[in-house]
Amino acid sequence: MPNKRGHHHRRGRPSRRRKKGFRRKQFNKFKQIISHHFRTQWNEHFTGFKKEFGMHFRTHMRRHIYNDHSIEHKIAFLGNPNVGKSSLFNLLTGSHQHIGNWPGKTVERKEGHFILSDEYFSLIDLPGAYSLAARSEEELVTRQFIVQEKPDLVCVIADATRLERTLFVALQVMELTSNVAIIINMKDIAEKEYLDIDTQLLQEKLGVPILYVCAYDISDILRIKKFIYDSLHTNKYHFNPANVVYPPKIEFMINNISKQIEARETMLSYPTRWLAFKILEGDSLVKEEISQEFDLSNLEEKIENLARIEQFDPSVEISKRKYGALHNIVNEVTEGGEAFEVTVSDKIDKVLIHKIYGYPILIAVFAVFFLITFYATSPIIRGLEWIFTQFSDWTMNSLVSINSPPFLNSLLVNGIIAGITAVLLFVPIILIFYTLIAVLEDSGYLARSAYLMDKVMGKFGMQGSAFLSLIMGFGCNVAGIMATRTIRNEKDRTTMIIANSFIPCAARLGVIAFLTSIFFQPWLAAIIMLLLYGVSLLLVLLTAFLFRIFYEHEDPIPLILELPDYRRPRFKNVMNLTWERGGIFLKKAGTFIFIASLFIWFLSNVPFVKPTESEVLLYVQMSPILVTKLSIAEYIGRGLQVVTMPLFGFDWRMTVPLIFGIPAKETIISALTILYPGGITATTWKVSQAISFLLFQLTYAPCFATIATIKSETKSWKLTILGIFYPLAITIILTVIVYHVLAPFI
Amino acid sequence: MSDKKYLIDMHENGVLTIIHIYAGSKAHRFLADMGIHDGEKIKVIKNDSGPVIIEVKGTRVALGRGLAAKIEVN
Repeated sequence: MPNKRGHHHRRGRPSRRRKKGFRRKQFNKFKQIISHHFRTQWNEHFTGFKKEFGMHFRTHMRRHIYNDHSIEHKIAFLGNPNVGKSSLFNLLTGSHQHIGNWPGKTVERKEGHFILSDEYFSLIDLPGAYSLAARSEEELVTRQFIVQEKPDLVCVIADATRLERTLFVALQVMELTSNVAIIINMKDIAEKEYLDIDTQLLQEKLGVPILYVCAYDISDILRIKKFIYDSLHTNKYHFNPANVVYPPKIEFMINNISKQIEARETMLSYPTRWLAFKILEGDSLVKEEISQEFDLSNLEEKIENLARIEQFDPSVEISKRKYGALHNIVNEVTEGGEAFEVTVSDKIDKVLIHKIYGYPILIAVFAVFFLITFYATSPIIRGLEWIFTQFSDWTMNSLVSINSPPFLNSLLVNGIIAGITAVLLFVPIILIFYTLIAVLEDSGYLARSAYLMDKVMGKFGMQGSAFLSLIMGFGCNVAGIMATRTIRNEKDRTTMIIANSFIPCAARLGVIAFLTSIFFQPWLAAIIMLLLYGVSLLLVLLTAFLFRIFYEHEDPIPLILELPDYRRPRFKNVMNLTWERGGIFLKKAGTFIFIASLFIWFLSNVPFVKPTESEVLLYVQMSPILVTKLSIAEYIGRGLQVVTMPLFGFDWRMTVPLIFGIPAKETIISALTILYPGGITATTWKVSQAISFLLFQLTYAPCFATIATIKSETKSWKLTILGIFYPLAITIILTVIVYHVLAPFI
Repeated sequence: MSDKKYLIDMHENGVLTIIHIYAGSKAHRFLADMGIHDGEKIKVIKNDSGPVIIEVKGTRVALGRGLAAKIEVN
């Protein structure tokens, strides 16, 4: 629209005055763009801080620093696994996402935002749950968030083809807050199955806003944004969540408990009725917190009486009633869609999880998986290595040419650049690994592989879900430990996290291949290699066995595994999954590896005598007196020799590489070549020494990245320390026995 | 007692009603939250040598054989 001055119509050269005005306008526009850019940057920046300072700080600061988007809405996303929640979340927020951890939890916290009508909608992806019982950290985080951070709206995502099942969690949320909206996804699939849903009727029955969408339809994404906006701003929707009617005896008990809670005025942020239900259900966390306020024993007695007389578990009964209510509602609002039909997935499963063909297919799939992960990445890694070698050589040369002090040169090149290299060399393997996992997961095959392996793993007292972790560990223990996330059973998960250090990763395979080829005939080398792998597997099984004793008192959760329908993996989902997991790994393990590399540099350079590794070579050749002055690492090596020589037959030159190998096993070979300048030959060590060395390096210490992962996955220093010293103890015992049996003969 | 039937002995493709679940309380509650409780209709999708796969409320769920032996059906 032309303005008063009619700028739009002027074709000629503007007068000086007008030009100035024009420039000012331009400048203002520029200022707007810059300030908008600044704001978005600021936003990103602040979200990083949020983890440290908490949500309040950010909201507070944002409101004080700038005025636009002063209206911020907090929208929580919640839903069962496999309802397409993540894809919806990603489509709504686009690239405006960031992932952190819930404070003090291993559970990831994913947040994003979108802007509509100049209002800021911050979306929080609550960890996927079947229910809101305090059984897992995910469920706990979810309910704490709803109560403590009071989101403006909790969007429950449901699946049109499985309404009863996926609306169950919505009923639970409705007990906790009335700000609930339901987005029913998978419209496309429901329509294919001729399933009709009367959303208007469902909305009336449930008393909360409902929207029916297909996540892959772009126009539906806009509808969702508008739906969220309307739910918050207009009177179009009503929030009057339906209550499930329970049998009189349960209602009576609930009223009874509610009165007691009200009288005590405890845990006020939670709805009283909800608390009463949780006490009736025997929710350990609610009970623990309330019992600090008043004695629950008389209530517990009454609940026990009720359970005994009625012969039910109150928790099960309540879930059953909810499902009963949903069953009636869903029957009323849906039409068509046959139950118990044979689906395409069932037909595929006839082959893929067949009791005979299933296994060769499984082996083939994972063979391909391995080949891609560990061989396709090796040229990339070699390329990166080459680039970094060039770069560090160039840096060293430039530094030497400007006469910078050798100490600084070494710190920069062998400390910092080497540290960054160590981190970056991990990137390709991690990214490709997670991409492949995401493809397997998104397609639905991952759950099937756990199903197939349950029979095999069961023989060793573990569930099928532990299989993936075992397989992955052979490539990289970090990956193996990350894979334990799919294990629901606490015992199996801890077992696999600790036992992963026993599985020889690709780096240790390198050491084995290097040394066996020197000391043994090829045929004997192959046998020794297989024996070493056998020892590893035995140690894993031994660990599984020990942990079974340790966890015996626990009531184990048997295998209950949902098998999602097969589908074509979506590129966006795969990328998002990869980025989420890979990013977290790189942030955490990356920092750790970097610091560890600096530490090793410090150990091997102070007291500062050797500026570069090549000079070490010279020193070793020149005089043994100089050698003794080399570094802290060597002092330690010579000190340890007193112990390692009689125990395992290691002299200090065998011990030092093992020390260097603690952070990363790749270092062992390079350390050996530095310490044995003439090269290792079949006569350098006795055969018993070589076998002892091979056995020791196989399992003696998880690398630093693995330790970091054990810590971040278990969130427990106790288990991390166990993860470090348990393999060490086992290795020492095993190596001492093997060495002393072999030493008199070879 | 002998006429009680358990999920683990059932043929594939049969539609059954759960009579009772004899599992431990943790497992029982977990199953109930997934909609697997007494009175619920289920279909046996696969029952050979591995875990038993059933269809319940439109979802396929694999249950360990030990657990399947504790689910009484009609």
